[in-house]
Amino acid sequence: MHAFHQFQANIIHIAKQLRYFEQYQKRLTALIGADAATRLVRGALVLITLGGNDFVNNYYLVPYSARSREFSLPDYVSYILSEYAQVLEHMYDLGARRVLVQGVGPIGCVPAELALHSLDGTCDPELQRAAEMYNPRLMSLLQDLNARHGGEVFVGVNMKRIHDDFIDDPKAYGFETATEACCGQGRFNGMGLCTMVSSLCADRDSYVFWDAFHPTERANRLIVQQFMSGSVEYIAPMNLSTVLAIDEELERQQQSTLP
Amino acid sequence: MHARTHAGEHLGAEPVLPYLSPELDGEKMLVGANFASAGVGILNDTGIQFVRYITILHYITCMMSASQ
Repeated sequence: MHAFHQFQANIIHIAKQLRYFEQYQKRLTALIGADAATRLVRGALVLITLGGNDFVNNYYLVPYSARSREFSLPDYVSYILSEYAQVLEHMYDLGARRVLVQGVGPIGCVPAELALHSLDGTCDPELQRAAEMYNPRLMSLLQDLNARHGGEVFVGVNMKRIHDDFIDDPKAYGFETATEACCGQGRFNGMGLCTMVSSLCADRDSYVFWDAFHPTERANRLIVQQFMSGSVEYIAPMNLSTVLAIDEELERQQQSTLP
Repeated sequence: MHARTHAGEHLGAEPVLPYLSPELDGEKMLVGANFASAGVGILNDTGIQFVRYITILHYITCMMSASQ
């Protein structure tokens, strides 16, 4: 029971994260003043990754989960996106003006799912279907929010699309395997958590997955390269290099109009 | 290491500290803060089920080590 309470205490729900974001801004204000704090937050890049757990650790956690009995998949996607829209609007209200929103990755292809559902390393089709349905609808939600606010505040990343490249052809990206985790145990090294007693691979750079769910550092670096320079299939309405160029230009214009 | 850390490096920023870190104070707040948490979802019940999942795994692990 001790471990239970410890773990429960460690989860910081999204509403609480937003309260911390607000509290952080109060502390910033005390440090550098209200105007400077507002400018800092407006000029900041905010990253948010949310949604994957709502499939893996909720809807598909067990067969006949409460949520899967309550909603069909398309209705569940609508439901979580309507909740997500409120989270994103709240971030906007708290002053965020450049928000990178990461969609759901290839949740059917993670070693944890392969360990449970796959004989030969092929991805779980139902979880993949969920990710394929969710990501484009997230992108269109972000478009709607941007239209409402009259600016390109929310930039969407199709994480599954980025990951698909590694999964379809790992060797093209210098990976030996996209099915086996570097740290874990059991089939595909995808059972349970990465701990001190897990089996650990010799060369983590040749693995797409570090543990049962998460990419390795090297895979993350390649993902970030797509954030920077990927085409609109990966990141929309524009990549981060374009965002930076626009923001620099805006700043230059503002400075030149100052007396 | 998460994508956010590398995105920060790419943009030439130093890695941001977790918001709850006691070291996050003064000037260090000016580079940002990390509010993220493991196991969190859009829905509040996602976290709760994650806890159950971990608890069951932990329970199985405990049983396995107890039986060895």
